[in-house]
Amino acid sequence: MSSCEGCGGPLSEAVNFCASCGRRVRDAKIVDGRYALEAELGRGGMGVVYRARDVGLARNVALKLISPHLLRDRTALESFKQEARGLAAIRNEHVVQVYAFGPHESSLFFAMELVLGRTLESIIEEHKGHGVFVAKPTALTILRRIADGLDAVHDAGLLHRDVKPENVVIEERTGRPVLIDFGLALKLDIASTSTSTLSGGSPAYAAPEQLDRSRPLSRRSDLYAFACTAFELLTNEVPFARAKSIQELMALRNMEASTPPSSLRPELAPVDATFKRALSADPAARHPSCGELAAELGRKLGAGKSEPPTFAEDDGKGTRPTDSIRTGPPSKVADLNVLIVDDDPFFAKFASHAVNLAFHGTNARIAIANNGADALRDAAEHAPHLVLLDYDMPGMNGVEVLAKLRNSPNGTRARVLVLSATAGEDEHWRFGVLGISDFKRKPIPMRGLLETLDKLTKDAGWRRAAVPKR
Amino acid sequence: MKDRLDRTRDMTDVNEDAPDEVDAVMATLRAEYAERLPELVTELRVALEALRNGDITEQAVRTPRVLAHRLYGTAGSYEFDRISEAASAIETQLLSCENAGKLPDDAAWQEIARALHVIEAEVAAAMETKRS
Repeated sequence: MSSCEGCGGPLSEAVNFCASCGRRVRDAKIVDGRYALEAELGRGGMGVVYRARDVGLARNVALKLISPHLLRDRTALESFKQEARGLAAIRNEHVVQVYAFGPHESSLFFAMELVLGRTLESIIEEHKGHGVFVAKPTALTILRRIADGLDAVHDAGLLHRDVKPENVVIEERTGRPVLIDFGLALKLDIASTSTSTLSGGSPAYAAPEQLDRSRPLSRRSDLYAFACTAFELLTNEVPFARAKSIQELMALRNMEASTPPSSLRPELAPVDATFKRALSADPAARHPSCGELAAELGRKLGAGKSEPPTFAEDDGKGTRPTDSIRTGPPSKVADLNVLIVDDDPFFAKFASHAVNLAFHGTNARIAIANNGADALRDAAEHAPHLVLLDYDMPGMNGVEVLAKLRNSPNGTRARVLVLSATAGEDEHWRFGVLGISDFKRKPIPMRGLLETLDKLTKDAGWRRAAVPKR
Repeated sequence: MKDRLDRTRDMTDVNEDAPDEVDAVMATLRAEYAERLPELVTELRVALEALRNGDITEQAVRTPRVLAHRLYGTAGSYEFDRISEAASAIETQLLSCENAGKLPDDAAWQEIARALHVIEAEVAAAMETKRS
């Protein structure tokens, strides 16, 4: 590996910028005539993942190149192809999407959706470090959505074989959970008829049949790993944390001697039996699908109660309706729904004019809510694309509003900009857990807000919201 | 040559004679907000007086801080910077008392009165400017 002339940092052969100082070191390496490699994102068992620019469609992608030393290994090559082909067949917002796949020099590449965000593993670690748990409604929403993605993977005839918190990314800005890294993926028909190729997986999450290769795999093997992930998300511990070796782990799994979740978090007592079933040594005794497991967890932990009642029809109590400013024809469906949530009507008005200026000429619907309940009611009817959210509000604060919004239908799609005079480090962390990284401090000048909206708009790929020229 | 052509195009993109839309919007917003400022400041003063006169219900303690907090964030965004700074000083005093679980002492009330005076003077000046 060579060194950067500017800072002396190590240079990867495939990239054209120094990762340490940003210095351009050579012309961009182009893959498949359209993907310019920009920076290395990480290395896995199968290959190296780069951030690349699709120069044809002007968007960033994640581009995976198989490690050259694996090219001589036909099994690894086949596994790499299966990952790409299998993924390409899946269309689910909670499964990373493949855009292209093909040969590159003596290697293979595939370009896929670039999901920027934090892994569930790092979120759990952070909560554990703070001595707290991920809030139940948030955890259950993440699990429900990942279960949806996993069921789609299984319906497409694939097994993931490496489900774990490290392979779930919570996308920045939207909070969308996405299942990544299909490097060990295998076609279900192969997995169900053979035990000879069933290696891999992470021991702390792998099903007994995957660990000891005693039986063919099925979708219930992924379900086992999903249950371990769910257990950890709810308790900050993996189910068999006391095992000191793989042998001990295998023995505990086969004895079904997992710690009940309620021993780590008493309020989880209603799901002790659910986890006992999901972590059965016998695959046939487990839940038939990840969706069914997630649904049972939701039912028993009161997810139904946690769904905000404001998502239903008007409560009939005469709650003040949200104000709306319509810049497009009222009868037409808006191209962009913007929701401004602020208890100060004068700031909300200021923000609505900024949005009007930023999206001038587009069919944007701008709604103003002066409290969390009104905001959620409006969001239930008009799922917002963009939310400008205050933090310090009487009643529900901004974090509570956002947590409920994320639970609503289409609630994960909203880009959220937090505008607050008081949100500090702790609040930033709480918003960060919900996938939010855009903060602006009040007071904020009009041009500053417009520039922020412009940047958000470009990042989201919406119609450009140009700052009017001076 | 190409560089010169590009620069020419950039310059023609900006219509120097066009009215500045942002400034125009801000001027209208500022005027509207200035109209409402006396009412907002009165609301704050009344809430502060209620607290000072011994109303220590939860709402009476919270209301002046909430009003000062709003004034800080919003007046500053509307470019009434001195009002915003003074409102921030009031909020800081009230917040530190709230966090310490006590009512403002004489020193805190003096700081609050000084900041409130700045706000009222700024609002009066804004009204005067509008009249003239």
